Amino acid sequence: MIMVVALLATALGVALSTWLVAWWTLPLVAAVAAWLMPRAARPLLTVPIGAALGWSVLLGRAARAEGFERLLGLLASLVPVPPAALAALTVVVALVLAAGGALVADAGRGRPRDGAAAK
Amino acid sequence: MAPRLLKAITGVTLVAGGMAGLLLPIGRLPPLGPLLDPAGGVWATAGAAEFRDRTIAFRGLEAPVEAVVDRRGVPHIFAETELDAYRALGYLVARDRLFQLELQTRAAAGTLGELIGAAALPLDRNARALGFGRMAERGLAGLDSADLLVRSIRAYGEGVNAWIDGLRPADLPLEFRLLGKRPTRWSDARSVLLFAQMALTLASNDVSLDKVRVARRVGWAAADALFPVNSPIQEPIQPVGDSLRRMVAAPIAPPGPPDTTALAIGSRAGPRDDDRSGSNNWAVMPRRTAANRTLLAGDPHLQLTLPSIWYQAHLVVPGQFDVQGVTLPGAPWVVIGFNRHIAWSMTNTGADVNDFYRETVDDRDRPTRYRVDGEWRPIELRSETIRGPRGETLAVDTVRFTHRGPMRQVGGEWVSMAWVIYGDRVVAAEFLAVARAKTAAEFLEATRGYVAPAQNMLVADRRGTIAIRSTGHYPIRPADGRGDVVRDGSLSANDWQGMVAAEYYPFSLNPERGYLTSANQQPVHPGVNGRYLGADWPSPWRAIRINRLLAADSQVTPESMGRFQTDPISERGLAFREVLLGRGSDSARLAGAGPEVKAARALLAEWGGSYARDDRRAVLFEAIMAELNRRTWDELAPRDSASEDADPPARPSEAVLYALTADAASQWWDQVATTQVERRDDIIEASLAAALDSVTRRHGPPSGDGWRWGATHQANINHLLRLPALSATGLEVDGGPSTLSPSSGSGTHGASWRMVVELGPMVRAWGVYPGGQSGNPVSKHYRDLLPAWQRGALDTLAFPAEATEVASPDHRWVFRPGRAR
Repeated sequence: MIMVVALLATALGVALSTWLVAWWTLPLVAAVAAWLMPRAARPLLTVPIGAALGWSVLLGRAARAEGFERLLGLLASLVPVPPAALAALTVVVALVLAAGGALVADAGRGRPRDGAAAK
Repeated sequence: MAPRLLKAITGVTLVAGGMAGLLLPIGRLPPLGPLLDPAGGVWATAGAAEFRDRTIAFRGLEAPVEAVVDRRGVPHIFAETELDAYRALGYLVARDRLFQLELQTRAAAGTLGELIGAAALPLDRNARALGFGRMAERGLAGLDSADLLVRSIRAYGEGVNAWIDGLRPADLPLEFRLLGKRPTRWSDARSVLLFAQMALTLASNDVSLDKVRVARRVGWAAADALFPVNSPIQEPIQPVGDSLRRMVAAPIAPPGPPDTTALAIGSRAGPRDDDRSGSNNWAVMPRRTAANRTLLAGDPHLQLTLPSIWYQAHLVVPGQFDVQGVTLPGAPWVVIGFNRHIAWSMTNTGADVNDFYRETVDDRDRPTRYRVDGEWRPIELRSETIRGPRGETLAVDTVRFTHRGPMRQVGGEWVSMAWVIYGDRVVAAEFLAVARAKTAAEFLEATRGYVAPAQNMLVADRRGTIAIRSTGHYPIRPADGRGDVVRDGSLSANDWQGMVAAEYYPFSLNPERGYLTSANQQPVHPGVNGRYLGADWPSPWRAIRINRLLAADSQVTPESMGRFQTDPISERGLAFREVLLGRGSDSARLAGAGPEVKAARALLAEWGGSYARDDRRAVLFEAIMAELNRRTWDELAPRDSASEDADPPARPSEAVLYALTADAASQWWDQVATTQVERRDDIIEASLAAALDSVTRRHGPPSGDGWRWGATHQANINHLLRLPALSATGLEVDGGPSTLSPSSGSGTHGASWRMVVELGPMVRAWGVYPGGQSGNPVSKHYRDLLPAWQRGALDTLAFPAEATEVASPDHRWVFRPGRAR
């Protein structure tokens, strides 16, 4: 349960910071989330997945626009990769940046406390 | 290594590597991070194309403004003050056309390289060499900031900048994302540069250099004959009735020995294409219309682009004006349009308003002085640094100016160019007053001072008056007054002596025949007025066609006016068809022709001069004309040598070729490469046989679909960056060379706006342009007007008097004075 809550919280944080500030806030938010998250929530796994989920939600929101299909058609003609691959790349970017941020935060937290480790 | 350290290193590597990979451009690709950003990157472009009702705080606004955008994407702007209307217009144009605003003024300023890199260097160098930046600086310095013109430009710029300042990441146009760039804020100078760019497009045709190139091949007498001052076929804008001859061609001098003393000029930019300027306008007095109401039609032809060169808008300021039509993105006024009283449209006059001077300089390589009347004068030197996208220097050029204008080195000589736009105000402030005009007379008064590019301004009003005037500054030249020569710059007596007074502009008012027409042809019959306005006029085939259609219809309707705009019949085709079928040849010659010639003539006889997309004979006619031109003007053909004269000079117009067909034995028919002496009929027969052979080989049998005009020739509307995915190419359209909707060559020029206005108790209007209001390729308004344009149909233009009268609006934006959040 705690993992689900952590994942959703990370997704929300990443989506909001990207929406309100910029895409480059993602590793920072990921690091903060990993720092604050109990070890039981397995931040090295939860944070990247949550970040990918957050960006996927934003992608889904963009896809609701009337002109999204036209955009996909345009992108397919402009860049030599299918639009689905571009969308996948967007999610992978979120995964990688969030994993990096989470790793740095995790390293900075030091050894797990006994109680936390026991869980 | 400790696990913590390993984690830290891995984490830092992923973040740092990832960020570097996302922030740095990879090859020609922009940085991927901003592009893939799911909230503000390329994915958000689709959402940025949709608008809902909004209220916007706008600092500097004097009163609230309401902008209702109709289902065609056209804003109807209701403001309480004139300047507020321009502020709102600037805001909406920036919203819809931000990349176009950036690109077109950069083109004039010579800073395209900063946006798109070294590929733009030749264009930037040319713009700098023309001195547009210097001209914009001087032009602004000479304006009074209290003047309505300046305040209007500033108000419009405030609107553009308000949009740029409030730009959300999602609003950034796709092109900026692909280039990894941001828009620059608007400045007054950019509005001036916009008009400089228009002047370059429409008022820079000077035949003198073409004639020099031809003289180096075949001598001056032939050059004068091939590029005559007066069009050999006359169908002037200023009607003359039947009292004067239509054919005024003088005998065409034969090719003579090359004049090697003529200035050596390198290659020309490209072959002549009469259809590059294919604009038409005409107006009909009430007594010749079915509803007894004045009618006006206009279709300016320009390079076709996506987004379009025009932005349609309707501006309402109670007590001031209520005007609709097309604006140029970057300027606040309606250029072609209508209000509640009048309608107006323009075609390019194509007058000769620039001249070249061969200068005497102190140093052939790096001159600093030039001589006039025996005295040395300093040359103004201006260093131009052209930069690339990252601020790197692409080139540093020194541009030189004499008192006449910028200098260029041409074939080892220094030549300076005088141009009306250098000495005068170039921004067309007159349109501010045009919007308020209530009669044709007020329109004519408002446009008296207009400078450039000279336009055949046609106006009609509700009272039934129609008038046309070829308005613009025409230089008064010394001696014979001709501008189709390169003059000696060492004599000040060769300088311009002022500008022709407006009273002497070509003009016509309420002609007896009941209609007025212009199609870029020579404005005045030389038998009426021999004053030099230009040379080498486009052949008047389109004007002949319009006049024929209007003369045959005494019950003209708006529908027929619209139909005429895409009439597919070519008077050029009908005229040459007669010649090609052998109307001037003797019957024995026709009977003795070879089977290929007879077959070609039989197919050509089936043709009615139509360039409808399903016509199957126009393709043969065009092939014959290409052969005929090539064989006739073989003296001017490309040469194999690497000399400076290797490139072909311009070919004479087809009006000259048509005039030549009256002389069956002219020396021009003789082929340089053969020993026997060819005559007209030999060349015609050879052209017929060769054309049939090439068309059959290329397009199959004459009955097949390969011969369809639409299959062989299409309109091509390229995106401003020529990105195929954002362009509309291969569009089958009705029309061919010299039809009313001319289309030839690469199909990149055409009707940039078609409009018909009926001036009755109510003003009704119809119009269309090839593209759409939005520059966002994802928007539903990017190319929604294109299908109607391609069909030759016109949309009904909403002309509401109140904001509440806009039927089924797309969205409504209210601007309120206040600080933007």
